[in-house]
Amino acid sequence: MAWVFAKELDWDALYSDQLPRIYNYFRFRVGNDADAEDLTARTFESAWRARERYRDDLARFSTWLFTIAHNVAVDFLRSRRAQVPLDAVEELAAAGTPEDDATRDSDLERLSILAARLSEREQELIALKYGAALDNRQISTLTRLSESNVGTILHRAVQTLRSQW
Amino acid sequence: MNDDFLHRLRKPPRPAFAARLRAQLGRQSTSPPPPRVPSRAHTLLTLLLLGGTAFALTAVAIRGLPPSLVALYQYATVWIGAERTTAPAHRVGNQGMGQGPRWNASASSSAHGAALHGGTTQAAAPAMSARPAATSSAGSPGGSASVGGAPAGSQVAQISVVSSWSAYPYAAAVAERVNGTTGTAGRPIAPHIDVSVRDSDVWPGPMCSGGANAPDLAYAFEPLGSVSRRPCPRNTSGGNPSPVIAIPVGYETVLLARSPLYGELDLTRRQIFLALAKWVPVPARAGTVHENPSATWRQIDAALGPEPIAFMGPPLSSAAGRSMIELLMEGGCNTYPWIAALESTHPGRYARICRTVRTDGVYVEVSGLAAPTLLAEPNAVGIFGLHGIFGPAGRSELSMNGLAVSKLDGTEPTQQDIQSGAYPGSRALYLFNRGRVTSNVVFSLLEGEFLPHPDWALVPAPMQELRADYTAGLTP
Repeated sequence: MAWVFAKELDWDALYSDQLPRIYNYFRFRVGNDADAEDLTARTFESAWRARERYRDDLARFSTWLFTIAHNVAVDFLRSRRAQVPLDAVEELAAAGTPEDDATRDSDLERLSILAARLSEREQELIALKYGAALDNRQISTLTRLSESNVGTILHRAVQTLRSQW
Repeated sequence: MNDDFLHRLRKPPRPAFAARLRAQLGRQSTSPPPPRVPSRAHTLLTLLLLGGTAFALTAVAIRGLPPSLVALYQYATVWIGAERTTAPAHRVGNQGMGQGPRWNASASSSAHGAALHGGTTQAAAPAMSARPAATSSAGSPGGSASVGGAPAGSQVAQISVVSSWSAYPYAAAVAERVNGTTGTAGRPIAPHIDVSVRDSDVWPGPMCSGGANAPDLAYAFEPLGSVSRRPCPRNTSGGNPSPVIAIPVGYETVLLARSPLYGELDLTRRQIFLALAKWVPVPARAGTVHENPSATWRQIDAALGPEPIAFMGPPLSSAAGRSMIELLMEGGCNTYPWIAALESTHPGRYARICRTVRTDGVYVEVSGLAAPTLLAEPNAVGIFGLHGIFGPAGRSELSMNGLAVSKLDGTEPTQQDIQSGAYPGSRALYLFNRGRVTSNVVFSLLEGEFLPHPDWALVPAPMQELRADYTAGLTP
C-alpha cells in the first residue's frame, strides 16, 4: 500500500484563479479591503504550509481552499467581536445616524452593515455566492446543504437585504 | 438590489498585494515542507491488517513443508525483516517526490519559470541555492558575464537578488525584462535573475551574511545619497568581509500641481493626509479617528482657501498611486506620533488609517493625467508620479505646461532638491552589490532597455557620474 502524495499542482494557475475569489469572499465577510487582504494572505499561507495534506481524491482544490478560508474568517470574526470594546480607536460611524453613515459609506460597506443583521449562515452564503462567485452546487458541497436549500436561503437573504437597502 | 448589483461589488485584488503575497509564498517555498508522515492510528491499522493476513497465510502454507524447508523459510523471514529495517533509508532519495508543488519564486519569464518548475534535480532544490556557478564566476573581477551583451558560454548561472517589499515591483520588472530577453537561437543573453522578497531591511541583513546562499544584489528604498561603500558591521562574524557598494538607481518622486487660477499651493504632507485620507484624527481627542469630514481646504487649515477639496491622481493600484500613498499620505500620517506607533503595534489599523484614501469622490483616479485636464478643472489638485521630465532650468515640465506646482513642506520639487533629498515627496531606490557581480553587469541593469522608468515614476540618477564614481575608486 503506497502512501499517496499530493500531485504536482500548477500553483501559479491556481493562485491566479483563486486569489480574486478568496479576496472577494473576505471582502463580503468583513466589509473592508485591508482586513480582506490580511485574511487572504493568511489563507494562502495556511494552504501553502499544508499543501502536502491536500488530497485531490477527497476534494477539489477550491473546496479545500475555501474550507481553510472559512476557518480563517470564523477565527477573525470571533476575535473581532471580542475586541470591539478595545477598538475604540476608530470611532467608525460614531458621529452620525446610521442613515447618514450608510449614505456616506461605499456600497460594500453598506452591504456589510446590513448583512450583519442576517444569520451567520446567510452571511456565509452571500459571501460565497457574490464574493467568491461560486455557484449553488459548489456552495452546497462546501456547506453540506442541499442545492435547493442553498438557493432558498440565498433568495430570502437577498430579499431581506433589498428591503433594507 | 439584484444579483448583478451584488456581483458588481466584486473587484480584483490590488496588483501590488497580489505580487507581494505571491512573492511571500515563493519565498516560503525555499524551505521544503516536512515530509508527509502517516498518522499513528493509520500505521497501526495497516500493520495489524498486514500482519494478520501474513500470519494466516504462512501458517497454512508451512504446515505441510518438510523441516529443512521450514528452517530455510525461517532464515528468509529473518533476512527480509533485516532488509525491511533499512528500507526507510532507501526511500530518502524519493523525498523530492513528496515536496509537492513548487512556486516559481522568481519574477522570471515563462521559459525560466518552466525551468524552475521542471522535475529536474535543480528544480527540487531551494531557488536561492540553485545557482551552482554564480559564486565562482560572478565573483571574479574579470567575470565574463555581462547583461545586455554577455558572451556566449558565460559561467554565471544565476544572479540572486533580494528586495524590500516596496522595491519589489521594480526589482521584479527589471528581472522580468532581463530574463525575457534572448539573443541568437533563443539563448539567454544574461544570467538568470532570481528575485525574492525580505520582510526586514536588506541592509545590512542578507548583504552582510555569509555562505553560498547569500544574495548577490539587493534593492531597497532609502534616504537619498550618492554611491557609497559600506563596510559590513563587525558583529556579522562569519559573514561577508567585503564592503557593499550602494548605488542610487533613481528617485521615486510624487508632486502636486493645479491650475494657476487660484495661485500656487504650499502644502504640507500632514495637510495632504488630512485632505485625502478616509479616516483622520479627531482634533480634540488624541488616539481616535473618525471619517474625514473636510469638504473644503479651509476646514483643514484656516490659512488655506475656501475652495472645495478635489484631487485627480493615478489609479491607486498603480505604481504611481502606491508612491503617492507611501510618500504623501504615510508621510503626513506619521506626523502624528500615536499613529506612527501603530505601525509596529497594530499594523492593520495603521494601514487602514494611513493608506486608505477617501471614497466619497474627493479623489478621482485618472490614468495618464495631463495638464489640459487640470487646466479645465481649476479646483482640482493633480498628483503626478515624476519620471525624468525636468527642463533645462531644473524645474519640472509641469510648470512649463502652465500648471502651478505645489511646494511640499515648503520645498519646491526641483531636480536639485530631489537629488539632494530636500524634497520630502521623494526617496531613492538603491541597488546594493556585495562584490560578486561585476560593475559591467550592475550598470547594465541600471541603464538602457532594462530600466522600467516610465512605468515606475523614477527620476533617473545621474548614471554617468555614478559610473565614474564607481570605477574611480569605489570598486572593491
